[in-house]
Amino acid sequence: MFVKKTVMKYLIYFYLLTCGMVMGQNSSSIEKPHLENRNEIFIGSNISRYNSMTEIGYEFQSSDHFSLIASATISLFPDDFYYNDDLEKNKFGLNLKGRYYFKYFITHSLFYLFFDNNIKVRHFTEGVLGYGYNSRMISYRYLDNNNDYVLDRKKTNENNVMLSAGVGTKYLLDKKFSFDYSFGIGNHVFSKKPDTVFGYFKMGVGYRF
Amino acid sequence: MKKIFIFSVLIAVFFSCDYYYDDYYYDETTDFSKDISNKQSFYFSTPVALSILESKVVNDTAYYKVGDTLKLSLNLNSIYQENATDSYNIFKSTKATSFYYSLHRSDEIDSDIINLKVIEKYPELTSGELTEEEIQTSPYYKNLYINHDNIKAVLNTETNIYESKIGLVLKKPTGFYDNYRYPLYISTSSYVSNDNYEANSVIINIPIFSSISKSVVYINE
Repeated sequence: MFVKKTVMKYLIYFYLLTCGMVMGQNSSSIEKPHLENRNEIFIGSNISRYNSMTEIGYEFQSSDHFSLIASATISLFPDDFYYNDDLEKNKFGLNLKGRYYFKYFITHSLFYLFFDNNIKVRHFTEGVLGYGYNSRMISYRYLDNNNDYVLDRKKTNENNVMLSAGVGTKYLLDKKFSFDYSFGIGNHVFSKKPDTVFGYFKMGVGYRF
Repeated sequence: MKKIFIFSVLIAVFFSCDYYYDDYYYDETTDFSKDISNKQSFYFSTPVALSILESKVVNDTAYYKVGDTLKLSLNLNSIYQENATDSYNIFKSTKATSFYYSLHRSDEIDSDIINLKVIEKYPELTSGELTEEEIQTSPYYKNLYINHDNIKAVLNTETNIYESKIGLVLKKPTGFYDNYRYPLYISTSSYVSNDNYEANSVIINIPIFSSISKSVVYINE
């Protein structure tokens, strides 16, 4: 009831993934220069209490610790997927993110099976300024001809500005490819709605050049 | 740069910290003076009553024979009066032709729940004219008995009232004593609600004022 079923499902996936990765991590002293490629394009999925959307973006590594990200989001699921669960559908969104990467370390991980054994792990914290053009079902009441109230629901579009913060991990699998996930909490700003706090979980793959 | 970044993260955390738990007190009466746009279920405060029909009650003691029917009725007007000032057209709001509730009884008195409307239409089911086998093969038999978890109040389009007329057919208690006062306690679910979970429908929950507490004495024929 507190967490929608669909969101709950993804949270369980995330939990299993995290457990697997932490258990799979073994430090190693062998290093490879993974930070040469400072540009990255990525595609991923971004799931929050209000939305479930596909995200495409560009990340620029401005220094060893900082990076800036611009991304666009869109939902590929049909309307019913959202409205039947009383969620908000993201028709279109834009995000600006700043990330601070902590000191990296090298690890063997679960990805060892698929890539070479020198995977660079970079934990980070991020701040996100987001804009969303969303649609959702809302309830309202009106007076009918007999002066009785009637309750009804309709679809509306909304512009939202969101501010959120989170933490995550990026795995530089080799010189070209990366995998990352992050999660955090955010809120709508300039919104009069009473209940706009959301959590988010983002997962994606990137190509670095 | 680093300071600005950390500052912006702290601001984001600050904005995230005011949180309302409105929806989680599921039975809190809906306050229509506030924003209702993010609610799909509405909880009203003025209750409807489940009442006893044709009662054989004297001084809080009901005198029944084994096999007698205790008749109960619930009427919910489709124009529902709330707080003496506002009225809601719950049929127009929900488009529902029936509302649901459940019924619970004390364990001491065993009983079946039957639909009195079926009996009114087809009185031969209980008049004794049919044998047990004929009753059970009757096409109306499947509509006769009601599951206590899923009792319907059906809209009467002539009167615009959701009506539910049910009967408790009292069985012989397992420990049966003459002139013994068996406690009879009847309660319902907290609300009568329409059973519609489509995205464009509202769900209306109206409290039922119902705790019927009597003593039953079985009288011999």
